[in-house]
Amino acid sequence: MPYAVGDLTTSFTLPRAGGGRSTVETAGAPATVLVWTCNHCPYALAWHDRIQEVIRDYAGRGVAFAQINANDEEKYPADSFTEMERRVDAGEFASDFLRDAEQSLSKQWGARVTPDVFVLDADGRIVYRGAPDADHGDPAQNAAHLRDVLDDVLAGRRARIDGTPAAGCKIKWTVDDQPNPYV
Amino acid sequence: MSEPVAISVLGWSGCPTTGTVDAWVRRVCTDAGIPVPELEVRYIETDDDARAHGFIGSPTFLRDGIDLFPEPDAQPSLTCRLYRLRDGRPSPLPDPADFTAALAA
Repeated sequence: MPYAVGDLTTSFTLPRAGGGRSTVETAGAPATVLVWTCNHCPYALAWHDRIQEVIRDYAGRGVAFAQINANDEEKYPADSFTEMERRVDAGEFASDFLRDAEQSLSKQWGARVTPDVFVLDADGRIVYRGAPDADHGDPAQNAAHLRDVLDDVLAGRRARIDGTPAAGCKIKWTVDDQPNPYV
Repeated sequence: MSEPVAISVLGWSGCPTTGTVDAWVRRVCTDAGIPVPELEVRYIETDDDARAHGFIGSPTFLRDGIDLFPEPDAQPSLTCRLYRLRDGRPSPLPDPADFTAALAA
């Protein structure tokens, strides 16, 4: 079964755009945020700057961040590792941008769409998964869901919201054995 | 006021925009004071269908089989379509002003 809110998670290592591999320790930091995203989806792109702002605003408070692209690059060349590196080189990412080409990790996590945001507490337990905020089309939303949950976790409070329905492009699975979140 | 036009919408079920197109078109046209077009939504669900229809993302708006927002270099694929608003922001739907202008053209 894929992870769900309330589950404890385990650390993992993936290739990193820009070189090398990066290990995400899911426990230890005051909070950890993982964002499944990609290069071509209009929802991922519409929310992208807001997510990077959250990373810049909270990294100084010890929150760990990673962004992950799992999309099939054969059918969707815009999501290739080369294109990931191009965007990283252009300074578009405020955290590591990792590649899950095999997609098994993304299926283990239950990632559904881009963007799909997971917030973990210091124990590595999922306390939120869903959209960054309520409206991809309204920059004034300012990733409010993500910020609210991070503020709660950092203050030692229960997250005021534990998730939203999927709101983004379905992940492009190489073997599409995953449920369609919109059907 | 001119007569409503007929628009075909090609959509993919893996994109949340697809289920909102009808309401979006209705709102945009109503706000602009123009007739709401008749919409026919056709779902594209396989790579073969995407290639056969030149489907480059959901939603794709066609009038008389012609894409209202042509992108001749885009490759067919099952995905959400990337549009740009007039201020340059990425969006899963066209800028309303571009949509109404395309209807009027």
